[in-house]
Amino acid sequence: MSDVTGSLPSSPAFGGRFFGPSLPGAGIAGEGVWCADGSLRVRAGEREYRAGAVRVAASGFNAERVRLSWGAEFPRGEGDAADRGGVADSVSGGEAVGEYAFFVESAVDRAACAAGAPAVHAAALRGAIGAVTRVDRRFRLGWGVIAGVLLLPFIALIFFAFHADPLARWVVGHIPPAEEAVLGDMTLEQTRVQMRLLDHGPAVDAVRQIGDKLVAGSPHHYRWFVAERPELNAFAAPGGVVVVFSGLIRAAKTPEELAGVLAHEVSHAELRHSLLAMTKSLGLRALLSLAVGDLAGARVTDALSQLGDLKYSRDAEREADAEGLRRLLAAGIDPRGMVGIFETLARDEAGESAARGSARGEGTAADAAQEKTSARPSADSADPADRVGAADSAKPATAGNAPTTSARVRPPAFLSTHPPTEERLATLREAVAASQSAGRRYAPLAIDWAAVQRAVAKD
Amino acid sequence: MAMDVVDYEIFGHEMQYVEVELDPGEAAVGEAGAMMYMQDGIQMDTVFGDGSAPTGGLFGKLLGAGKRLVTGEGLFTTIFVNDGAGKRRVAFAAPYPGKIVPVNLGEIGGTLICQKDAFLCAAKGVSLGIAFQKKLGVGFFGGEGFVMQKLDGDGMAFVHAGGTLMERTLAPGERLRVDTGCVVAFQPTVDFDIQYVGKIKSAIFGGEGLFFATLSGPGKVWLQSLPLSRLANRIVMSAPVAGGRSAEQGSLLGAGMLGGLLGGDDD
Repeated sequence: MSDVTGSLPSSPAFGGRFFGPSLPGAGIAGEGVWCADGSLRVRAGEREYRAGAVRVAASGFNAERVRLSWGAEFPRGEGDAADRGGVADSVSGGEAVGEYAFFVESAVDRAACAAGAPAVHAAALRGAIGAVTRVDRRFRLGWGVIAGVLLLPFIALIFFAFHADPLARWVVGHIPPAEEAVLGDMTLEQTRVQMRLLDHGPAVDAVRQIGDKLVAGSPHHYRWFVAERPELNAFAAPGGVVVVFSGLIRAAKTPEELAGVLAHEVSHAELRHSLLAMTKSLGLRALLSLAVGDLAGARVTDALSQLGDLKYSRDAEREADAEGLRRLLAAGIDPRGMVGIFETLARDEAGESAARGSARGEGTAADAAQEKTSARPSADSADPADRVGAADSAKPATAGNAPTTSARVRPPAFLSTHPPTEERLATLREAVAASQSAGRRYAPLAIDWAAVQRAVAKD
Repeated sequence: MAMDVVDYEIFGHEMQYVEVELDPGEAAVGEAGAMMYMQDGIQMDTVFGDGSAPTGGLFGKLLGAGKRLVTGEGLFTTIFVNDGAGKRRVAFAAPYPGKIVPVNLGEIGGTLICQKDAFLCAAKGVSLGIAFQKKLGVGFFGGEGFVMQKLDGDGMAFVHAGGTLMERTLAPGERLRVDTGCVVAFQPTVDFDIQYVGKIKSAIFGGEGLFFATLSGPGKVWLQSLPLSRLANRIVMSAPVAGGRSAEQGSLLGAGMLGGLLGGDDD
């Protein structure tokens, strides 16, 4: 075959598949080479085809191939070097009129094709070869986004796990006190079912008198109650419902001691601990069921969200201790009463558990003391384990189903609802001592404590 | 490697089977469970992977098997070897009404892209691979899902299609618009894409879905008139105990969202 135009010396041949009119529909194997004048020559079968204005595009499955296509408008003789606009004088052996396409398939061939390409096609070829990468990149990105969407609940869960406190605070910050009061009403109703609540009498008056000093300037409307129960306990529901058990009033030697307990409980309400705990528990549960689905059952979600609950309460207790102390000082009430009642509680706790421990022959007094701190606040259980703070928040609402048996097993420290009483007591003593150093004098509370004691004693 | 040359004959009209004649020493690979009968002298052997690369090493075999799992095929392929002295025959039957498509891979350039699960049997040496549809739009709305099957080699391969088969050769630049789910196989030079139906009204009420699949030449394409899922839908819809759930593929969001993502059209 006469080589009129000649291929560029630097232009390597590249294999591919050739399609065109009068060729088999499935194409035939061919070999292409770029010519010096920028045209393409394809040798396929027994013949050679010449292309004039070649269009370059990425094509085929996943745009993995480079398509070089052209239209043959004029029948042209084989090897005819006449200019492409000229009318062919011979149709014998000429190319059939129609669209031709040469597909460069393998990576090696594509590279060879790009290497020898004339300048006019260089950019288009680079684009066509890059199309594979573009399609691939978009594919990965798309699936990445889909995977991200599917994993979103898990990501949210992890985020929540690390930022639960600020998130809960943010949510709670948007709940107005009026809404909180509604929750308090619900808790109150629940509590009334379980125990008799006094809302008047010398004991309630005393509680109110002390309490009002502690909550001066609060956005909540506080309601004070005394429950006729022997346990040494008190709790604050959201929205300013405070219930003191008569057992606690009997145990308090001075009104200042009662004030100490009240300060602690009021702090829980003011710091909205129960709301925070509820928000966290609800949020965690919602996210868990979103991530794990209902299939996982309530057991897993319950267990997990309760763990978070417990951990929260420990921090809440410390916070309430500190805030309570601050409120006592602000109200001008002797903070030593708080230390006193805490000591009483610790002693009572230790004594009881020792008795219980020896009766059952399990654990030491210290063990049992710690065990009791983990007891879920169960207002209706006869177990006097419920301590100050153990029953804060709206927990009496769920008290009915609180597991009383599981609480007998001593949990590891991180599982307990409250920090060990000894630890809290030590912290409190230190803080009180620090506040005493100023040498400040406190006026005793103007309450006829003997009358209050008499009022609760007759129950 | 050189492919085994097999002679074949297809029997039946709407529910076909293909009978493959094996010379002594020749072998064919079949989709697990597709074998219908075989003559004496043909040994059946089950291999891990597709048997196309017997010296591929353990890792290669695992990889091949993994790919087969993704395409919905079994982990093992059955190889039918003629150990006898003369010609022996083995037959493979299509699993649902339709046509068996014989494709000579050598003639079409060595590679065929087909719908997953379409493979029926092939001459030993044809490798069964996986071809990910990487155009997102096509994967979601093209009706074939993201996972397609790739047959490589230069021997005969048999794929099956639902309903009546249409084999079409597209000239360079020629374009065919196809209902999603009807594409069975095509040469890799064919550009498989999607096209929006054009009008909201047609998209919602036209019954053809939001998109057409488009096939642009050059190359050979094989279309099926009745995708199995469509047939299954009609059967379920007309069954007396049916819940009456119609999920025509291509309706609004393709073949039922998640199933359509990976499952293609054969759910």
